[in-house]
Amino acid sequence: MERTDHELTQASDPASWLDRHGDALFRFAMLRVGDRNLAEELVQETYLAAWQAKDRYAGQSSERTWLVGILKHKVADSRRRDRARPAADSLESDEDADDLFDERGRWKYPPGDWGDSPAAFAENQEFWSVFSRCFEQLPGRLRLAFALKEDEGLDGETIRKVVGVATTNHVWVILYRARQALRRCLEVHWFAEDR
Amino acid sequence: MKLLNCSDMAPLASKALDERLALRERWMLAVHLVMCRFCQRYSRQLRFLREVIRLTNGERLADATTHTLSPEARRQITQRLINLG
Repeated sequence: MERTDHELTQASDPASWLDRHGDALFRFAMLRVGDRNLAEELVQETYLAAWQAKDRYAGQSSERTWLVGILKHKVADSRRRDRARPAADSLESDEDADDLFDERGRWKYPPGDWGDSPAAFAENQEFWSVFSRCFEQLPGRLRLAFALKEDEGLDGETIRKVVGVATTNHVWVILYRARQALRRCLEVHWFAEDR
Repeated sequence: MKLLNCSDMAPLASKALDERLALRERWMLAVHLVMCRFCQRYSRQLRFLREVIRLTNGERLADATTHTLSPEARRQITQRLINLG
């Protein structure tokens, strides 16, 4: 039987196959589980499953898309299988909102006008590199909750289990703090500068 | 009814993106937003964040981090793939 190019590249060398997609899959998994060990496990499961199914991969989608599809299933399985993380009663101090308001509850640094067209920034490399720096600065649970909400669109109860907090109220607080930190960072490092 | 100040209203406007607020909360938020230009902008910024991520299907969000597989994980995965043959 004739092999496709895709199958050949995969089959030839596991190490280079891992080089091509491993880190991207790992980042994808980290965004969804927030835990290094679990994320690495899921990437491993994904590669093993893909390897065993490689004869059925016909190259109808890109190799990356195919692997991400498998990884998504692994993430969903692990959420069903694993018990929720032990819930923390309180928020950690680095999850505290910055001091954004004065003693009378007014904005210390009034929010600026970002305009009405996010579409104008969606393809802007510079914007995303600033966004990346801001996003990476978020404390782990804030980043995780934000991604679960804004990327996956999960509900409060599911997010509560994945990030490991006691109540959905904690989830709203964490999301609030994540958004405040992100918007403030973008304001300072992107929107405040003349462009 | 107590009028909201901006620091009360900011968490509410965030929560409003995630679930339906109680009638009373919605009302207080609406009243404050009519009066407060800064909170209007803040609210629009939060929607901007949501929208710009949706426009890229979340792909940019994963790329926005720099995590990499540890060398041990790399070795282990490679080894297990080789063992599968």
